[in-house]
Amino acid sequence: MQCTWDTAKFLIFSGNVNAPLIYYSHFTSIAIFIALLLLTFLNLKPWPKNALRLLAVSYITWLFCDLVLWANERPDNIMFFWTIINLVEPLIFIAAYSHFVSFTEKRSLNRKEKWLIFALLIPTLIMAPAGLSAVGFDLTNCDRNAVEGIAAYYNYFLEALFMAMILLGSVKRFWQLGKEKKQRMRLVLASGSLLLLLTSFLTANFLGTYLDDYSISQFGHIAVPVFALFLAYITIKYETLEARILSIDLGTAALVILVFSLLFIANQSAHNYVIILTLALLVPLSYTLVTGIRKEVRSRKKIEELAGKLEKSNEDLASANVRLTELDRQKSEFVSLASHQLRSPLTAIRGYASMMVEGEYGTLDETLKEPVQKIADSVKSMVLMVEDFLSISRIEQGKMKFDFTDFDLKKLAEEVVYELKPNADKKQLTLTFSAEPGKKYLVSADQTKIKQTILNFLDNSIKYTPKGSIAVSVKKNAYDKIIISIADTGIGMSAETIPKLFQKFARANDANKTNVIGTGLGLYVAKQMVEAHKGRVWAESPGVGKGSTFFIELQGK
Amino acid sequence: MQEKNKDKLFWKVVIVSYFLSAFFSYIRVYIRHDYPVYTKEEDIPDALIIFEKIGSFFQK
Repeated sequence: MQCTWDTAKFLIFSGNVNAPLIYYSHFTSIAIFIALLLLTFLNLKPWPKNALRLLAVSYITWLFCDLVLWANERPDNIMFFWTIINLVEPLIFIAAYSHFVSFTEKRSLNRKEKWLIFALLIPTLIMAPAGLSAVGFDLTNCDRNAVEGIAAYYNYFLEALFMAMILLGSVKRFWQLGKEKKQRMRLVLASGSLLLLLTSFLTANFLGTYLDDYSISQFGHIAVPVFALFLAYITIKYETLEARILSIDLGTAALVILVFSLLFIANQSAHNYVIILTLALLVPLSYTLVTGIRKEVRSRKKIEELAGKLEKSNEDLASANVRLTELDRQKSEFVSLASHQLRSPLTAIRGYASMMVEGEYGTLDETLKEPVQKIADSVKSMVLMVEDFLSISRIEQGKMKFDFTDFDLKKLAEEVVYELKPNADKKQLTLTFSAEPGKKYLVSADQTKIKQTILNFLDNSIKYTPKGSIAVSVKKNAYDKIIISIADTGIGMSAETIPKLFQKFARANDANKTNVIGTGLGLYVAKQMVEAHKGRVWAESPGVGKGSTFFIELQGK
Repeated sequence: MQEKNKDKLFWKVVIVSYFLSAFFSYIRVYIRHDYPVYTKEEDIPDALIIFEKIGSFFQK
């Protein structure tokens, strides 16, 4: 009998392939596995790369060889590629098993398992060149088939064995997972899609061999896009964000490939136009979808990273704050202790210096009078400084005690003015006091503390007023608040300086120009004390060099 | 030997074995043309004939 066959171009294209489904099923599956293979070369942690690579490569090789068998007319080509198919086929199942192990148990096959699997492959490797895989060439009825030998059945046995291992492994793992519903679902989807791929492949091939009708085996590849879509779905649902992006790429690519491959089976030009139109809509839509999701997923990832960093910074800040609070407490304790130790000797020095100046120990020599007076003055300012430190320590430790009594604020302010008048006179400053005559300005407060506050404010004004005048006045406003104002014609201050004025260790920018020694604590202490009386203090100034006014406000009785 | 090297050795053995198997198959088909061409249905052997041969060997 004379058989007439087409000559194949590029091994795989010829008129011998009379069923369009063959090209459709093969090219679609090859394209999907190429896409899968490319994805494994990207940095994807959650995907078991090696197993998927082996699966993709062996499946692509199998499909190519199968196309050669369909299209080719030369017996030697058919015999050789048939042998190669029988060599590669078990690898698909081994790769699937390896993929299953790494996907479900998060591990690679160990060395023992690998060598055992290789041992199982040895008969296949020996039988192929020995002629037990493709035994001979079948020309009966112009069939163009190789006659399969025992190696093909041995392969089916291996394939069934690995499928059984996947199935049993899935069942075992399913029970091990117990009540972990999410993990159970992931397992069912992963092993289900894998088993669907293998069952469909094996059944179709086995039926092809058994019934001697290889067109049946083409239906086995229908499971390939399903497997790819399942893989994409599992990753979207259960894996990390970066893997999600790539699985969306894979899913979309599978969809485009499926539509594109329809061109191979469409037998009417009208169908082709519809497919091309669908593709023209699908491709830009898929591109927009993929880029949009990429952008969104990456933004989410970035936000998650930033949130993590922020949380860590907050924790660091909280612990730093605790440490700072502790350090501040220790510092206050130290200042308190040091000040207490300083106060007694300073008081003694001040007392003896004053007594010497006043002639308690006999008349001082004229040359000694001035230095001793300077000692007395310096010690006095040191005592005041130490008092400030002590007050701060007490305030910060919450140990400041207040002795509330009712008294006339006007009288107290007048006393302070009287006490500090000599200091003002020394600098040739005019110090005045004004209040409504005969009216009492009763407040309930700690007299000593309020006196110290007024003293601080007035002393400050005298210090920072090189020439001019200082006017102290007491007034009561409509809300029964008593306000003491101390207005001077001193160095003044800028609007930026005012808010900083009542902070610890703060001094006006121009304070140093007046050659005044100060710690910057006086106003802070005054503010703390008045606030402890539920009052308030503030300062106003029209600008640098234009004088300032300080206010103390207390609730009147 | 380090784990990585042992792994490399395994894959080398696998690749070389596959290559040799494919190479000898190539020689069998393309160089030696060592395969029968069946033109009659009755000449085609049963793939499982080897088991029958083994069985008959033991029956002897």
